[in-house]
Amino acid sequence: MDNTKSQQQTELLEMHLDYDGGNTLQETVRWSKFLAIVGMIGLGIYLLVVLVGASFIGALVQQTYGLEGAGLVGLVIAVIIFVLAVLIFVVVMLYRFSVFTRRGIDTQDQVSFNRGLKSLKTYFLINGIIGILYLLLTIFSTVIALI
Amino acid sequence: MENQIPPSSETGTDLDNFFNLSFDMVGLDTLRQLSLWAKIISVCAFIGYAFSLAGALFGHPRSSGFIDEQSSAVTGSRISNILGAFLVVIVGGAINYFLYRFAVGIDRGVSSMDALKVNEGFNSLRIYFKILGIILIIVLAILVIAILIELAGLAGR
Repeated sequence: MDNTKSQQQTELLEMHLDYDGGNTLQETVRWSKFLAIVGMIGLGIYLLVVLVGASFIGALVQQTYGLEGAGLVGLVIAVIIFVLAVLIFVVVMLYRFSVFTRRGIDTQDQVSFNRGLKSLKTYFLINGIIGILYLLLTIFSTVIALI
Repeated sequence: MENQIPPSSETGTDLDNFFNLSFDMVGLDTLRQLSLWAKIISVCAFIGYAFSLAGALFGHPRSSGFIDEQSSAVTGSRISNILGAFLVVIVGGAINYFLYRFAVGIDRGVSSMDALKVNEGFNSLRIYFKILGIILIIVLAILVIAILIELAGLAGR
Protein backbone atom coordinates (compact mmCIF):
# COMPACT_ATOMS: atom_id res chain seq x y z
CA MET A 1 0.00 0.00 0.00
CA ASP A 2 2.77 2.35 1.02
CA ASN A 3 4.73 1.37 -2.06
CA THR A 4 1.79 2.18 -4.32
CA LYS A 5 1.35 5.54 -2.60
CA SER A 6 5.01 6.48 -2.97
CA GLN A 7 4.95 5.30 -6.59
CA GLN A 8 1.94 7.52 -7.26
CA GLN A 9 3.70 10.46 -5.58
CA THR A 10 6.81 9.84 -7.67
CA GLU A 11 4.70 9.68 -10.82
CA LEU A 12 3.12 13.00 -9.89
CA LEU A 13 6.59 14.51 -9.62
CA GLU A 14 7.55 13.17 -13.04
CA MET A 15 7.17 15.07 -16.28
CA HIS A 16 6.15 13.05 -19.29
CA LEU A 17 7.67 13.44 -22.72
CA ASP A 18 4.80 14.36 -25.05
CA TYR A 19 4.47 13.96 -28.81
CA ASP A 20 5.98 17.37 -29.71
CA GLY A 21 8.87 16.90 -27.29
CA GLY A 22 9.58 13.45 -28.71
CA ASN A 23 9.56 14.72 -32.28
CA THR A 24 11.84 17.63 -31.38
CA LEU A 25 14.23 15.30 -29.58
CA GLN A 26 14.31 12.92 -32.55
CA GLU A 27 15.36 15.73 -34.89
CA THR A 28 17.89 16.96 -32.31
CA VAL A 29 19.31 13.46 -32.14
CA ARG A 30 19.60 13.29 -35.95
CA TRP A 31 21.64 16.51 -36.13
CA SER A 32 23.79 15.60 -33.15
CA LYS A 33 24.57 12.21 -34.70
CA PHE A 34 25.66 13.91 -37.92
CA LEU A 35 27.86 16.32 -35.96
CA ALA A 36 29.36 13.49 -33.91
CA ILE A 37 30.16 11.29 -36.91
CA VAL A 38 31.73 14.14 -38.91
CA GLY A 39 33.61 15.22 -35.78
CA MET A 40 34.97 11.72 -35.21
CA ILE A 41 36.13 11.42 -38.83
CA GLY A 42 37.71 14.89 -38.76
CA LEU A 43 39.48 14.32 -35.46
CA GLY A 44 40.66 10.89 -36.62
CA ILE A 45 42.20 12.41 -39.75
CA TYR A 46 43.79 15.18 -37.65
CA LEU A 47 45.25 12.62 -35.22
CA LEU A 48 46.68 10.64 -38.13
CA VAL A 49 48.25 13.78 -39.61
CA VAL A 50 49.74 14.71 -36.20
CA LEU A 51 51.20 11.22 -35.67
CA VAL A 52 52.63 10.96 -39.19
CA GLY A 53 53.89 14.56 -39.20
CA ALA A 54 55.38 14.19 -35.72
CA SER A 55 57.91 11.59 -36.77
CA PHE A 56 59.08 13.76 -39.70
CA ILE A 57 59.26 16.98 -37.67
CA GLY A 58 60.92 15.17 -34.74
CA ALA A 59 63.63 13.73 -36.96
CA LEU A 60 64.18 17.11 -38.67
CA VAL A 61 64.43 19.03 -35.38
CA GLN A 62 66.74 16.40 -33.87
CA GLN A 63 69.08 16.77 -36.84
CA THR A 64 69.11 20.57 -36.56
CA TYR A 65 68.92 21.27 -32.80
CA GLY A 66 69.86 17.96 -31.18
CA LEU A 67 67.99 16.06 -28.46
CA GLU A 68 66.75 19.19 -26.59
CA GLY A 69 64.83 20.40 -29.63
CA ALA A 70 63.37 16.96 -30.21
CA GLY A 71 62.22 16.86 -26.57
CA LEU A 72 60.40 20.17 -26.99
CA VAL A 73 58.69 18.91 -30.15
CA GLY A 74 57.70 15.75 -28.25
CA LEU A 75 56.15 17.86 -25.49
CA VAL A 76 54.17 19.94 -28.00
CA ILE A 77 52.94 16.78 -29.74
CA ALA A 78 51.96 15.23 -26.39
CA VAL A 79 49.90 18.34 -25.58
CA ILE A 80 48.24 18.21 -29.03
CA ILE A 81 47.41 14.51 -28.57
CA PHE A 82 45.97 15.22 -25.10
CA VAL A 83 43.74 17.98 -26.52
CA LEU A 84 42.67 15.68 -29.35
CA ALA A 85 41.86 12.90 -26.86
CA VAL A 86 39.63 15.30 -24.90
CA LEU A 87 37.90 16.42 -28.10
CA ILE A 88 37.37 12.81 -29.21
CA PHE A 89 35.83 12.05 -25.79
CA VAL A 90 33.49 15.04 -26.23
CA VAL A 91 32.42 13.83 -29.68
CA VAL A 92 31.89 10.28 -28.37
CA MET A 93 29.63 11.69 -25.64
CA LEU A 94 27.59 13.49 -28.31
CA TYR A 95 27.34 10.24 -30.26
CA ARG A 96 26.26 8.35 -27.14
CA PHE A 97 23.58 11.00 -26.53
CA SER A 98 22.20 10.49 -30.02
CA VAL A 99 22.33 6.68 -29.87
CA PHE A 100 20.89 6.22 -26.37
CA THR A 101 18.20 8.88 -26.67
CA ARG A 102 17.09 7.45 -30.01
CA ARG A 103 17.06 3.95 -28.56
CA GLY A 104 15.16 5.20 -25.52
CA ILE A 105 12.46 6.80 -27.69
CA ASP A 106 12.24 3.87 -30.12
CA THR A 107 12.11 1.09 -27.54
CA GLN A 108 10.46 3.07 -24.74
CA ASP A 109 13.40 2.30 -22.49
CA GLN A 110 13.63 4.82 -19.66
CA VAL A 111 17.15 3.66 -18.71
CA SER A 112 18.50 4.27 -22.22
CA PHE A 113 16.75 7.64 -22.35
CA ASN A 114 18.31 8.71 -19.04
CA ARG A 115 21.70 7.43 -20.21
CA GLY A 116 21.38 9.61 -23.31
CA LEU A 117 20.60 12.66 -21.20
CA LYS A 118 23.59 11.88 -18.96
CA SER A 119 25.87 11.71 -22.01
CA LEU A 120 24.56 15.11 -23.11
CA LYS A 121 25.27 16.44 -19.62
CA THR A 122 28.87 15.15 -19.80
CA TYR A 123 29.19 16.68 -23.27
CA PHE A 124 28.09 20.08 -21.95
CA LEU A 125 30.21 19.71 -18.80
CA ILE A 126 33.44 19.20 -20.76
CA ASN A 127 32.45 21.92 -23.20
CA GLY A 128 31.80 24.20 -20.23
CA ILE A 129 35.29 23.61 -18.83
CA ILE A 130 36.75 24.23 -22.31
CA GLY A 131 34.59 27.38 -22.53
CA ILE A 132 35.92 28.70 -19.21
CA LEU A 133 39.52 28.05 -20.31
CA TYR A 134 38.79 29.75 -23.66
CA LEU A 135 37.35 32.76 -21.83
CA LEU A 136 40.42 33.08 -19.58
CA LEU A 137 42.70 32.81 -22.61
CA THR A 138 40.66 35.42 -24.51
CA ILE A 139 40.72 37.86 -21.57
CA PHE A 140 44.47 37.34 -21.19
CA SER A 141 45.20 37.89 -24.90
CA THR A 142 42.87 40.93 -25.06
CA VAL A 143 44.56 42.55 -22.08
CA ILE A 144 47.95 41.97 -23.72
CA ALA A 145 46.66 43.45 -27.00
CA LEU A 146 45.26 46.53 -25.23
CA ILE A 147 48.37 47.26 -23.15
CA MET B 1 -20.03 8.51 -33.53
CA GLU B 2 -19.83 6.12 -36.46
CA ASN B 3 -18.30 8.84 -38.62
CA GLN B 4 -15.46 9.39 -36.21
CA ILE B 5 -12.16 8.71 -37.89
CA PRO B 6 -10.01 6.41 -35.83
CA PRO B 7 -6.49 7.68 -35.27
CA SER B 8 -4.00 6.27 -37.69
CA SER B 9 -2.10 3.39 -36.22
CA GLU B 10 1.22 5.15 -36.74
CA THR B 11 0.18 8.38 -35.00
CA GLY B 12 -1.59 6.54 -32.24
CA THR B 13 1.42 4.36 -31.54
CA ASP B 14 3.79 7.31 -31.62
CA LEU B 15 1.61 9.24 -29.20
CA ASP B 16 1.35 6.29 -26.86
CA ASN B 17 5.07 5.65 -27.08
CA PHE B 18 6.09 9.20 -26.23
CA PHE B 19 3.80 9.26 -23.21
CA ASN B 20 5.56 6.22 -21.80
CA LEU B 21 8.83 8.10 -21.42
CA SER B 22 9.21 10.57 -18.61
CA PHE B 23 11.73 12.74 -16.86
CA ASP B 24 11.99 10.93 -13.53
CA MET B 25 14.00 12.19 -10.55
CA VAL B 26 17.28 11.06 -12.14
CA GLY B 27 16.30 12.67 -15.46
CA LEU B 28 15.23 15.91 -13.78
CA ASP B 29 18.53 16.12 -11.88
CA THR B 30 20.43 15.50 -15.12
CA LEU B 31 18.36 18.19 -16.87
CA ARG B 32 19.16 20.67 -14.07
CA GLN B 33 22.90 20.07 -14.39
CA LEU B 34 22.61 20.11 -18.16
CA SER B 35 20.97 23.53 -18.16
CA LEU B 36 23.57 24.89 -15.72
CA TRP B 37 26.49 23.85 -17.90
CA ALA B 38 24.77 25.00 -21.09
CA LYS B 39 24.27 28.40 -19.45
CA ILE B 40 27.95 28.53 -18.41
CA ILE B 41 29.05 27.72 -21.98
CA SER B 42 26.84 30.39 -23.55
CA VAL B 43 27.68 33.10 -21.00
CA CYS B 44 31.42 32.34 -21.32
CA ALA B 45 31.08 32.56 -25.10
CA PHE B 46 29.24 35.92 -24.94
CA ILE B 47 31.85 37.44 -22.61
CA GLY B 48 34.64 35.98 -24.77
CA TYR B 49 33.12 37.52 -27.90
CA ALA B 50 32.91 40.93 -26.22
CA PHE B 51 36.59 40.71 -25.23
CA SER B 52 37.77 39.51 -28.62
CA LEU B 53 35.78 42.29 -30.32
CA ALA B 54 37.33 44.85 -27.96
CA GLY B 55 40.77 43.42 -28.70
CA ALA B 56 40.20 43.62 -32.46
CA LEU B 57 38.79 47.17 -32.31
CA PHE B 58 41.07 48.82 -29.76
CA GLY B 59 44.11 46.53 -29.65
CA HIS B 60 47.49 47.72 -30.89
CA PRO B 61 48.34 46.53 -34.40
CA ARG B 62 51.01 43.85 -34.37
CA SER B 63 53.87 45.07 -36.50
CA SER B 64 57.48 44.15 -36.76
CA GLY B 65 60.13 46.81 -36.45
CA PHE B 66 60.68 46.81 -40.19
CA ILE B 67 57.13 47.73 -41.14
CA ASP B 68 55.63 51.11 -40.40
CA GLU B 69 52.44 50.93 -38.28
CA GLN B 70 50.61 53.11 -40.83
CA SER B 71 51.59 50.90 -43.77
CA SER B 72 48.87 49.35 -45.93
CA ALA B 73 49.87 45.79 -44.87
CA VAL B 74 49.25 46.57 -41.20
CA THR B 75 46.01 48.45 -41.97
CA GLY B 76 44.79 45.55 -44.12
CA SER B 77 45.60 43.04 -41.41
CA ARG B 78 43.78 45.21 -38.84
CA ILE B 79 40.67 45.48 -41.04
CA SER B 80 40.63 41.73 -41.67
CA ASN B 81 41.02 41.15 -37.91
CA ILE B 82 38.03 43.38 -37.16
CA LEU B 83 35.91 41.78 -39.91
CA GLY B 84 36.87 38.30 -38.68
CA ALA B 85 35.97 39.23 -35.11
CA PHE B 86 32.58 40.60 -36.25
CA LEU B 87 31.89 37.39 -38.22
CA VAL B 88 32.75 35.23 -35.21
CA VAL B 89 30.57 37.39 -32.95
CA ILE B 90 27.57 37.26 -35.32
CA VAL B 91 27.73 33.51 -36.06
CA GLY B 92 28.84 32.48 -32.56
CA GLY B 93 26.35 34.86 -30.98
CA ALA B 94 23.47 33.31 -32.96
CA ILE B 95 24.54 29.77 -32.03
CA ASN B 96 25.04 30.55 -28.36
CA TYR B 97 21.78 32.50 -28.18
CA PHE B 98 19.92 29.25 -28.88
CA LEU B 99 22.09 27.39 -26.38
CA TYR B 100 21.19 30.03 -23.78
CA ARG B 101 17.51 29.71 -24.67
CA PHE B 102 17.82 25.94 -24.27
CA ALA B 103 19.36 26.38 -20.82
CA VAL B 104 16.72 28.89 -19.72
CA GLY B 105 13.84 26.78 -21.11
CA ILE B 106 15.02 23.62 -19.38
CA ASP B 107 15.70 25.48 -16.13
CA ARG B 108 12.23 27.08 -16.06
CA GLY B 109 10.55 23.85 -17.16
CA VAL B 110 12.23 21.76 -14.47
CA SER B 111 11.63 24.27 -11.67
CA SER B 112 7.95 24.74 -12.55
CA MET B 113 7.46 21.11 -13.74
CA ASP B 114 6.14 22.46 -17.04
CA ALA B 115 6.64 20.04 -19.93
CA LEU B 116 5.83 22.79 -22.43
CA LYS B 117 8.83 24.86 -21.34
CA VAL B 118 11.06 21.80 -21.44
CA ASN B 119 9.84 21.19 -25.01
CA GLU B 120 10.68 24.80 -25.90
CA GLY B 121 14.13 24.22 -24.43
CA PHE B 122 14.66 21.09 -26.51
CA ASN B 123 13.43 22.97 -29.57
CA SER B 124 16.18 25.56 -28.99
CA LEU B 125 18.69 22.70 -28.66
CA ARG B 126 17.42 21.32 -31.98
CA ILE B 127 18.00 24.71 -33.65
CA TYR B 128 21.44 24.94 -31.98
CA PHE B 129 22.54 21.58 -33.38
CA LYS B 130 20.92 22.35 -36.73
CA ILE B 131 22.87 25.61 -37.13
CA LEU B 132 26.09 23.83 -36.13
CA GLY B 133 25.34 21.09 -38.68
CA ILE B 134 24.63 23.58 -41.48
CA ILE B 135 27.83 25.50 -40.69
CA LEU B 136 29.74 22.21 -40.76
CA ILE B 137 28.23 21.33 -44.15
CA ILE B 138 29.20 24.75 -45.53
CA VAL B 139 32.77 24.41 -44.19
CA LEU B 140 33.08 20.89 -45.65
CA ALA B 141 31.75 22.12 -49.02
CA ILE B 142 34.29 24.97 -49.07
CA LEU B 143 37.04 22.48 -48.14
CA VAL B 144 36.07 20.10 -50.96
CA ILE B 145 35.94 22.98 -53.47
CA ALA B 146 39.37 24.22 -52.31
CA ILE B 147 40.84 20.69 -52.67
CA LEU B 148 39.31 20.32 -56.15
CA ILE B 149 40.70 23.70 -57.25
CA GLU B 150 44.12 22.75 -55.87
CA LEU B 151 44.01 19.39 -57.70
CA ALA B 152 42.92 21.09 -60.91
CA GLY B 153 45.84 23.53 -60.52
CA LEU B 154 48.29 20.66 -60.02
CA ALA B 155 46.90 18.81 -63.06
CA GLY B 156 47.21 21.97 -65.19
CA ARG B 157 50.93 22.36 -64.48
